[in-house]
Amino acid sequence: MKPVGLDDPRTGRWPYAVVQLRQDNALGTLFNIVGFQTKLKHGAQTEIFRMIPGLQNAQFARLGGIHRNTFLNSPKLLDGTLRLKGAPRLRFAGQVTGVEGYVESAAIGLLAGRFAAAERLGSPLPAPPATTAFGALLTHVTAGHLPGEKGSFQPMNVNFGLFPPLADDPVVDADGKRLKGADKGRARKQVMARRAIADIEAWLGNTASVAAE
Amino acid sequence: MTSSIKPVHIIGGGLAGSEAAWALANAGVPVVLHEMRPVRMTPAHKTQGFAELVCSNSFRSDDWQNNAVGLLHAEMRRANSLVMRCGDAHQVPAGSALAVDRDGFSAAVTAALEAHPLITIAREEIEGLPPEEWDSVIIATGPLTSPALAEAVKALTGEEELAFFDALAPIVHHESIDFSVAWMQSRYDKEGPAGDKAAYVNCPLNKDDTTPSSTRCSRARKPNFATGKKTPPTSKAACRSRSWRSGDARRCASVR
Repeated sequence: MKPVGLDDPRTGRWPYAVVQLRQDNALGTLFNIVGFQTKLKHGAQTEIFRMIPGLQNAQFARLGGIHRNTFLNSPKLLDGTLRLKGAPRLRFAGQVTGVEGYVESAAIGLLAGRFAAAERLGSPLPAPPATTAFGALLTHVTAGHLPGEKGSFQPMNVNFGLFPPLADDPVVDADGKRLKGADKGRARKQVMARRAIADIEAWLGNTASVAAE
Repeated sequence: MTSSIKPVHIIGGGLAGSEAAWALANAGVPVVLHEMRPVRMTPAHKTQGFAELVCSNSFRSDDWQNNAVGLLHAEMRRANSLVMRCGDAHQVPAGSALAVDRDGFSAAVTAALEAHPLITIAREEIEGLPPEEWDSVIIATGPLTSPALAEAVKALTGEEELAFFDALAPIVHHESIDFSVAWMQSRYDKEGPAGDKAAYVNCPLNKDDTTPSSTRCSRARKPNFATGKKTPPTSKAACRSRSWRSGDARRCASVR
């Protein structure tokens, strides 16, 4: 909250106080609010944090929380196929690796199973592409954290902030109309989702089409 | 089991362990799935079924085009996920979300695992590290990993590398920050180890801004935890305790 050494470009002076956000993933798409770990109810958190100047339209990838939870410092301890670097016969999966949510836990289990099977059968499996939900989640667990930074690794649900940004954001909709505001974000997610499905099918060697969904 | 391939051992029959067992067995690799329930129950589980859902019964949004978890659903279905197959088969009405009947879902996962010829189920607790002769092990013991195993893992990884509480700061999508108000700068433009002089996003507060915010904070509702516990239970622990089950699903969801 201390404002020292921070010059507000609009006034040229240090403000009365500041709220700082620190980069949270290597892609630079996510920022955490420094020191705002809290157990307030989620509705209240959204309402209060949007009172902070500059965050009035903030979209949250995760709200604050404090829970009983056993989890590893996975980015440091696990290799790209979820093996413990110091004892590679041991692989980890599920919530203990630092993912949140039923589906995310199952997804990391599915990957651990596939990696272990490939290893057993002597045919190594490449990681799923980072552009897929599987890949984004695996990257969060095994690599996505900023190395050497002060912020510690904390569990997270899957979200679009974990995906690499698009090279070119969509500018017009299907009818050629210029996209604005929330529509722009929605269009971007949809392009990312289609990219993910195409890439996961290639990874799985699966030919089922997106239209079948 | 007549396979000449050595089995992979999985510890824990929750969502991750069940899914891992299914993936291995379908790839032709034999599996021994170790589950301590019902020999040793946990404070959260009620049954001995695999993939028991102890909190909400929702897999969240099923919209693959607009929601990241919906997209994950779609990818998992393509990857022959057992959890998604059983979830789809036992869904209950929930709008655009995928919610499931917990008992039907868990029973379906359990039946599929039990019926697979390459999966052997061992109802036993693995205390401490798995035996050395198990050359490939998947540990999927969840947020309430037993103390003995947690201690053993800590001995391998070092004291600092296994956490027992999370402390989550809110995370904001960068694109939603208003940079006509906020700006990037590090204190005194000091360069960090990553060589960046403008590492932080700064949101300025005026003296007047801070007052309504602090009043609002003190009025904000905090989760109503069950009383009478020595340490205040955190929201998930509370969610997992039996008294928070079925009868009060709404309350459970609201603290998550």
